[in-house]
Formats: sequence, C-alpha cells, structure tokens
Amino acid sequence: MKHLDERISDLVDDRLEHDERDRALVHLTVCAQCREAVELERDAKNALRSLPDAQPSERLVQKLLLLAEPGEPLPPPAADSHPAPVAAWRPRDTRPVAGPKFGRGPERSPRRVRVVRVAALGMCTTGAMLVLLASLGGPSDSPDTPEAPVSVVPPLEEFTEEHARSTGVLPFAEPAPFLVTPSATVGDGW
Amino acid sequence: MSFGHRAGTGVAGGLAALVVPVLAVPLLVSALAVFVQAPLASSRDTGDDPRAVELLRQSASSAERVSYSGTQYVSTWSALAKSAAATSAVVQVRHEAGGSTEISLHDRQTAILDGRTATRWLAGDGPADLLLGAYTVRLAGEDQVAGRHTDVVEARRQDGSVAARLWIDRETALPLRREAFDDDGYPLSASAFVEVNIGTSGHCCKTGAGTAVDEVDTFDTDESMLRWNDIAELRDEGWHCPGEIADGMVLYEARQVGDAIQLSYSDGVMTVSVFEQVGWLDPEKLEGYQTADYGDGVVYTRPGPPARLMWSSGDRVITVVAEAPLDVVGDLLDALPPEPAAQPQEDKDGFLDRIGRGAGRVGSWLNPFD
Repeated sequence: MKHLDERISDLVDDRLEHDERDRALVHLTVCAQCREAVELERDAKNALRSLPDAQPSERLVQKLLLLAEPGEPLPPPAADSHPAPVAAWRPRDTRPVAGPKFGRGPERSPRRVRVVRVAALGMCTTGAMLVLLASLGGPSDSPDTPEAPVSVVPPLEEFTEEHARSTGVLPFAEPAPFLVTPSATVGDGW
Repeated sequence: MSFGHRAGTGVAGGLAALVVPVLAVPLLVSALAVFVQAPLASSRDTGDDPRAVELLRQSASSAERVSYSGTQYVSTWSALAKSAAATSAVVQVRHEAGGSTEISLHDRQTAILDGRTATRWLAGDGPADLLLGAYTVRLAGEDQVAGRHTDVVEARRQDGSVAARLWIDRETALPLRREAFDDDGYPLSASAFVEVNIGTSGHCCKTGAGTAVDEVDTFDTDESMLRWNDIAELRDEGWHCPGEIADGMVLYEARQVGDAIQLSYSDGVMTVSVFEQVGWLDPEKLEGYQTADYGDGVVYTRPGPPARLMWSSGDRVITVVAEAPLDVVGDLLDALPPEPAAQPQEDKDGFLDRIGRGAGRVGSWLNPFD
C-alpha cells in the first residue's frame, strides 16, 4: 500500500469512510513513516485546540465591518458582547450589489464621509442663496421700484425738427435747420 | 402750399420768382464771398457801437410790427465736417406781424413757427440782449439786399473775429441777410432775401386770407414748455439741465419732447439744442453714425449740417444738434463726459449683475436707516 500522504489529515479528522479507515490503520501498522506523520498531525491539532480565544483589536473590527459596504451599515457591536473567535469568523460578502464602485475605496473613513457631506450641503445652500439673490435682483414690475436704465436710440430727425422749431423764435438765427431734407441741394456754397 | 399762388402773383411770375433766384443768387453771393471775406482776428474792439446797438434792438422787435413775404436763399455748412460743401435751398417766407412765420421749402414742405411770444422765454433778456452780451457789435457799412437799402452790423468775438454779419433794412429794421462764421472764418450759415414784399404776408399763416394773427399765448395751452421751477425739479431728479453750456450760450427755452427734455441755447446768433433722455446708448442699434473718442468715452456723430452728436453720460443719453462752433459743444462734453461704448444688454443683466442687485435689495431691507 502506498503511503497515506494527503489522507493523513482526513484520518486525524476522522473523515474517512469505514473501509478506507481500516486500510489506513493496517498501513500504519507496517509503515513507521506514516505513523510518525499521523502522530505529528494529531499533536498539532491538539495544540491548536488548547489555544485560548483570540481578541481582535477594535480598529481591526471597524475595518472589517467597513468591508461590508456597499449595503446598509452594520450595527455596531454591543459593548458587552465578545468578539467571535478567529476560527469562527467569516468575512461578509464585500462584492458590490450592482454597478461600478466609484470612489468606494477601502480607505474611506467616517470623518472623510462627514467632510464630504458637509461640503456638499454647503455648496447646495450657497447655490440656493445665489439663485434667491438673482431672482430678487431680476427686473421687477413693482411700481415703487425704480426701473433699470433702458437702451435708447434718440430720434435724431425728430430732434432736428424740434431744434429748427426752437430756433425759429430767434430773429438773428438762420432758418437753416429746415434744410435738413433729402431733397435739399448740396453744392459748394455761395 | 404753392410757390406760384402767393397773393398778387401769377403763375408766370411765380416761376420767375423761383428760377431767377436759383440761378442768380448763387452767382451774386459767390462774388460777395470772394470780395468780402470774413475778417480774421485782428484787434480787440473796445465797445459796442451805439448805432449798431440801436439797430439790433429795433431789428429784434421788427417782426412784431412788420408783415412781409419773400424768397430767401439759405445755405448751411457743417461745423463738424468743415468741408466746402454746403446744403442750400430756396425757401418762401411769409410772416404776419406779431404772429407766426411760415417757411415753405421746395413747394411742398412747410413749417410754421410761432413767435417768441409763444414760448416760455427763459433767458431773461431778449434776443438782442443775448447777442449784445456775447459779442461786440459795430456798424460796418451799408449795402443793398433785394433792392432795399440796408445797414451792415458786425458781431465780433473777444478775439476780434467776426461771428456774424447782419444786413438790417433801413425802413423796417428787418434782417434781410445774415451770415455766421466760425472763429477761424469758416462759414456756418448764410441767408439772404432775393425778393421781399413788405407789408404783405400773403396767405399766412394759420388763419389765411391775410387776416392778422393775434398773439398766440400758449403759456397755458402748451404743457410741454418748462419754466425755471420745472427745471429745478428736473435737476433734483437727476437731469442735468445746465443753464449755460459755454460763454454766452444761455438757456432760453426748455420743453418736454416725448420722453426727452429739450434745452435750447443761443448767444443770439449761434444755436444749440441739447436733448436729455434716461437710458444708455446701445451701439448695436446705432447705424450710420461715425464714432469719435473723447477722453475715455465715445461720441457718435453725424456731420450734418446741422452737426449732431450723441453720447452716454451717467444714466442719461445726451443728443446735441448744433449750429455753432464745436468748441461750444466741447464745453458741454467736458461738463458731461462721455462714457465708453456700453456693453450689450445681456451683459448688463447677467447673473452676477442680478446677484449684486439682489444683495443690494436684501441689504436695503435689513438697513434700519433706509
């Protein structure tokens, strides 16, 4: 019979079928090498079982809890609860539920999240204030509000006629303004 | 109104009256312009000639006493362009003593001018006093105009240059011919009767059939006319309304024209009208104007004649119609400095401008002293 090799652990953990186990035990009676390997495996197992429960640090627990994102935050562990032994602990599924994971690095801290949220709130508030001021500063139909200056195109021909009318009262001024007409002749003067 | 239908004149006579002045007057006046140049500044006159002063006073009031009609040749030059080209026309003039004056141009365009009694005269003194206050006058000789004897009166500036010449009829004191010059001798305007009939106004003016027109007192009917207390209120509201725009150019009439205030200035010979409007000039809406820089601002011009200038100053748009040397307008430009060309309306009403106005409005709400 061949050496037990990988079946040593199964034998120590009592996970072999009945026939297989009998054959392995028969082999141990004739093979000192395998017998020594089984003894070492059993000693190691017994040593591990004799160790006390490991106490993970609080920081490690928080980091591990953050690995649960995305998803609803995990409730904080109760103050009087004991952390699970390392051998019994299993990480949660950290795969995203759906979609790409933008900016969801494992380095994100609650403080940074809080800063980002405060900044976003501040920007939204500032934007709302600016929109409110702009609406207040817009044109108003209120009669008691002075109107903003408007663009003006002076009616030049009308003004020229009014100028001519006003100069008509002066005895020593020329009636020249009345010559402002397209049909007036243009020459080299007198 | 037709040129050929004046009282006592047939159709043939009307045509002759039109054709002869058109051909003969330019030749006649060209000859005068050659031989009678405007004297340049040479000496400072020491005082007014009493005879000239008396003639001017009589002439200023002659329209109150004398009816007349006639054919007048009028030329005007641009003070802005200062080119040799002139705008000229033959006009028919009809005037009722103490009443209105009708001026017909090219047998189709008619203007009826009310006398000085129909305006709110603001200058205090009459037109003759305006002239005497701005210039030194003297009798320069005698001449013939339209077959009538006239005395020639010259108005000189302080530098001795001739500002104006007036040919005053010896019998009626009517000014039958006028010339105005810039201080460097450049002509601004000239007019002369080539035919004049004293004592008849033809079918003039509003009442027709030679009926004398009573003095039309429009003080209470023309609400557009402004008095000094109205002008004071306008100044309180931010309108400029200067009482004088240059040496001797005083405000003699003010009225409201639509949304504008018209301010008329004169020194008795030169005339300038200043129009003020609330608002700002939009360059995109101004076509056909020349632009000129003045200080940090821009002035929009049309050479004319008459010279016309526009610019923005403060929240007012200033428009000037000038038949005067441009240094007169220069004083006004200094008093109301032009602003740079305005930005389009969108920029003036941008988001930041609106935010600024909104903040100001909120501040006014919070200010307990506002």
